[in-house]
Amino acid sequence: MKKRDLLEEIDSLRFQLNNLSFDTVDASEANALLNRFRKLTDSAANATKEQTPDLDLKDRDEQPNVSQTDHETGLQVVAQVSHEIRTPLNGIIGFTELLGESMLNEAQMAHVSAIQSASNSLMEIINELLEYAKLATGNISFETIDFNLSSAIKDIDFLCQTLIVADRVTLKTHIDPTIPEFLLGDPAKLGQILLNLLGNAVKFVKQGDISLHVSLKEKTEKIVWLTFVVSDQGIGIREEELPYIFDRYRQVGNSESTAGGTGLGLSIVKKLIDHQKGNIAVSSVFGKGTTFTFELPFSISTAGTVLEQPTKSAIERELLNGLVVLVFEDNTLNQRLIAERLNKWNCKTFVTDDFHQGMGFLQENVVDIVLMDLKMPNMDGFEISKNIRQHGTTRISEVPIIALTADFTVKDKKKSELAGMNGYLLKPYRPEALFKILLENTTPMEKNKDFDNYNGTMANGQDVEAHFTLDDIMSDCMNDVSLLEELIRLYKQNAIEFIGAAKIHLEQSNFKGLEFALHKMKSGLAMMKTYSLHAIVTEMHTCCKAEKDLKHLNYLYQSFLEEYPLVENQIEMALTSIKQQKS
Amino acid sequence: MVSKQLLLAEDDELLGSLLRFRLQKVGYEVAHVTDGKQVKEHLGEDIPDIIVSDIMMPYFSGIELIDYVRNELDSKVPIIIISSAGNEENVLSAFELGANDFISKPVSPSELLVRVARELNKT
Repeated sequence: MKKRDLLEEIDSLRFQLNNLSFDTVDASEANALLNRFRKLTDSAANATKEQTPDLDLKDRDEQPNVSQTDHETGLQVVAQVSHEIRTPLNGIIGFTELLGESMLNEAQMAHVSAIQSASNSLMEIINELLEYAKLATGNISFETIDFNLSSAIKDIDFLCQTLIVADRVTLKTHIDPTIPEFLLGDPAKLGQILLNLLGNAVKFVKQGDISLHVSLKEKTEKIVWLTFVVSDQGIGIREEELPYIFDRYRQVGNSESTAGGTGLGLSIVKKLIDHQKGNIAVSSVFGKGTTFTFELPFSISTAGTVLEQPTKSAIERELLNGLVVLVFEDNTLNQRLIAERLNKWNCKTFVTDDFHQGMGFLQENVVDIVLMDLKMPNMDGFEISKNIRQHGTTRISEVPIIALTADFTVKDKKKSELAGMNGYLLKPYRPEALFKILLENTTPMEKNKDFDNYNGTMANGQDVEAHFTLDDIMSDCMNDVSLLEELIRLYKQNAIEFIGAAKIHLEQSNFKGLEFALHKMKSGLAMMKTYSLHAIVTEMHTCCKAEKDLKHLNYLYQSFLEEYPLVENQIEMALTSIKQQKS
Repeated sequence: MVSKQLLLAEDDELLGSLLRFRLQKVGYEVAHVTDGKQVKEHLGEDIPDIIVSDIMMPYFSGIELIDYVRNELDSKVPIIIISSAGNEENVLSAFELGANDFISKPVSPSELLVRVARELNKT
């Protein structure tokens, strides 16, 4: 397949994926897509192989006649393939996840899992290709960070358990307890190695045990050597094939094998281990099983504890509540995906692919963080970031900017730093990763407006009085005082109606009625930014939905009654001051 | 230029008034209704250029409204949904039924203006 044909094929696939909707996809179509992708990636692999007899750096050195340009063209194709496919695929995976969280019947659930597994294997293939290209050019860096070995292994174990479909397959992991708990190294790369080996085992073993044993080989004051043994009772590998097992593009037992993949997995594993100065060996008895044994060195961490971030949805909502996020993203699928994700966390989100619309939003709103897709049609993410950094208003020029990208090279990293961006998030990302980056790049003060004000009021009424302002709503009203007055009148009317209705509903324990009254009250409170009341009403709403704790509801209602006159007073004072400014 | 007609269905008068004001200010002809019955009456007479509707409304929800417009009236008029936070399932079903965009409460009027303009530019 010619390079141009390949790109055309990619384009047509991208078109198909962009037009995909969940009403139309079923398992067979998802499989058809998967097959097309397999064909495509095979051709891509062949194309790159033809153009560059060897992508491998070491081998390349032995063959000095391969020109640098050929080599780069080949890698370019690989990079292009992976980027073009990852973007829409990222949308599919994310939406499928969201879809799986909604109310579905059994048949729909089955369709969703079919899409999920098909798109996940696609992503695996693409990632393998990209990974290989990066490894082959030495374009990959290893991290040295503190990590907890047993929890890293636990994560891998969990991931692999989810891959097992046959119920006659068991996976057991065992870690030598004498290994220091905290190590210094690259847990992600270790995970990649183990996932590859265990993933292979899960793929090939139809029945029997798969095990992972981690033991201490050697320990000095600063360094440990660990031995990892991955064994399975699968079909095994023929003796004559063993020497070639770590070669590229080779899937042992080609003709009979039905397992998918690029066949790059084991050569990636080998390279990852070599890069870390470790070693790997394989032994197998055909028909009985296979054992991979590898050894890796790690430093012993001096940090006593490693931070873990368990994220519970309730805490998540609280932590990011009210965060204002501006997202630059051109892919409509991703636009919707990220907006829905952020809304789940009660963030206020505005998504656009247009520079001017984005700047308009930045000017009219106090934005807490900007998420920036790097590849966009008119003006790319680097340019937009530069423009934001050069803005005359500090509030805008200093807003945190995080790059969103399906592929981030060392060059991109430098470019993004030059453009003044604060960090990056690789697509596809897990919700946890997005959450973490939002949390890390915004200050707690901004995130907990509601909560802080609520506490502030409860502790000290005067405190909030000093902060209360109608300026925001006034600018929403475009400085029209008569409209502002009209809104305040409606606001008061709402509140009085609410106070009356809630009293009756509470007396009659009518949760449904109360819920409706609360709902009606809530948006007005948010609009006027009377956060102390909003926090009370929000808590009442939560209690009410659960249809319990009438006592607490009554208590909250009393708080509302006590708080309301104070707030009304603040509004009156703010209104008077606005009128004075006007005249 | 003839001004674009916009149907605003929002039962919260406070928010509704503000949005109507801002939309009128930039030249839209706004009809503001506060419940589902009025929505139906209004759509019976004429289909506007764009609809902005709250999801939670008395008698006739925003979700039902989309279904009604897309299936009963067989119209492709752009629909922007206003949702309250914590109602993601509703937003998903709104999109499935054919909503074009959504905005969540608390609504920023400026943001709504941009979204409305964007939908109208598409048609």
